[in-house]
Amino acid sequence: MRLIIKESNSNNEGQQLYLHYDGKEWVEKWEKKVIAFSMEMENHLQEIEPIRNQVLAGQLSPLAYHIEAKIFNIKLLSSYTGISKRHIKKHLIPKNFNQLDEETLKKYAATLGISVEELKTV
Amino acid sequence: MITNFEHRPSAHCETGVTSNILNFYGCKLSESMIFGLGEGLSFIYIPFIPFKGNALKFSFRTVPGSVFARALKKLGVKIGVKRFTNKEEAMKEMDNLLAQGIPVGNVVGMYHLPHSPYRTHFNAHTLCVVGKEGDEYTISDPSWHTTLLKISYSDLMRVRFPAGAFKPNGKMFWIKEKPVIGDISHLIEQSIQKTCKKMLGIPFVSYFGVAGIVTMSKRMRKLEKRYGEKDARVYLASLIQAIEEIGTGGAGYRFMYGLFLHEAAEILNKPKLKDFSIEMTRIGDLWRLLALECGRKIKNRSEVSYNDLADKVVEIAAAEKKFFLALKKEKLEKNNS
Repeated sequence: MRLIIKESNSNNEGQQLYLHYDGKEWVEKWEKKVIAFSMEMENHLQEIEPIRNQVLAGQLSPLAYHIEAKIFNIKLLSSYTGISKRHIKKHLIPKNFNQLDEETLKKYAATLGISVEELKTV
Repeated sequence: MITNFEHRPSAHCETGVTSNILNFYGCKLSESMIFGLGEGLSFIYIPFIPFKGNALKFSFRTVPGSVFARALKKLGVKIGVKRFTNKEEAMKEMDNLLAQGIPVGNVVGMYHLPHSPYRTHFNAHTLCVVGKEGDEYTISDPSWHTTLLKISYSDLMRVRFPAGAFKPNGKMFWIKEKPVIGDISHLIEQSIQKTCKKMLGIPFVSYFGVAGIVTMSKRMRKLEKRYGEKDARVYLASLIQAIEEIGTGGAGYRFMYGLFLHEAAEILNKPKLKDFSIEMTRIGDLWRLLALECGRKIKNRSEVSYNDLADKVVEIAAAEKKFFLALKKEKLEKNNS
């Protein structure tokens, strides 16, 4: 039967509460945390390693890496932040990205769920 | 704060929230019953969307929101539905309803939800807001958590106004008057008929119902030639996701429909429907076996070819066609007598 995850507890590190349906009632059970999702994320980060190298080589701005790493795209980012797609494409070039003001950086950071400092590094 | 709201965990978000809200007003209808009454079961091979990455190509249910709307319309419950352009206004209107002691259902985006483990831009997740204390809201998310959760004002506002495809625009729904639900047996018969009609397909359109499953099998045969080896595997992965992960997480809603038929047999007092319920569960198992085979194919652990997988899909299509033809006839006979 289907498992339902309950919040992980500080008492049981690395474990989560599952509910098993044994035909009559729901029984609670502590089991090891499902790591499928984190494995998928690791895979994804490995796949976009070439983009990271491009950023380190100075061909792309850190924004390009973070868009890929956080599973966003330019269209979505544009509609969340209100910055036009044409401008976002400009900001993917390192020279333009370095000239950005604090306000625009904050907008990007808040949407991607990271701090401004993290946005500037890869 | 509403104190007597009973939070019951469920398999699927939309039906779970609907069932919980009805339960709050004293109408004991189970989750699967709502699913059956709302004619949720379907199969759609979504056409015209180019396959790229993990774009959604298959759907095992009707459009999000339709199950809730159809089921409550049939039951004759008066509901209010509202969308907004202004974010602050949306929160204010919800606060007013909560102050009157009315639980409010919300359609939210999944990406920024704090307790969500998934990072997908899916904008049709449903949850129910139960109360407000200061700057924090109490929410009931029946498909993921067994307890009530807390969420901050800014987080809730953010998930109510996501960007991307199918923007909910702060869509919220609530029940206006205390509903009185009488005999629902004729509603059950009606919804079973409509589901059969939907699954057996519209003539000359090959994307919906059983015809859609056949179309999928045809596409699967040319998968490798068309997309290349790597992308063909991603295609299979998105099929597994559609069967096993989205919604109830198991056999693409077939188990839930089986449970509905089982309950219907007791309400209508027609024991033959129980056989149909068992058959539906068997079809659900076939879907799960298909997902298992696809998983092995992706991981390179078996030498199944795409043709073999397509044959399995054809088998499922045949089983579903037989099932729904029989179910349709079954109801007609009963109506005549």
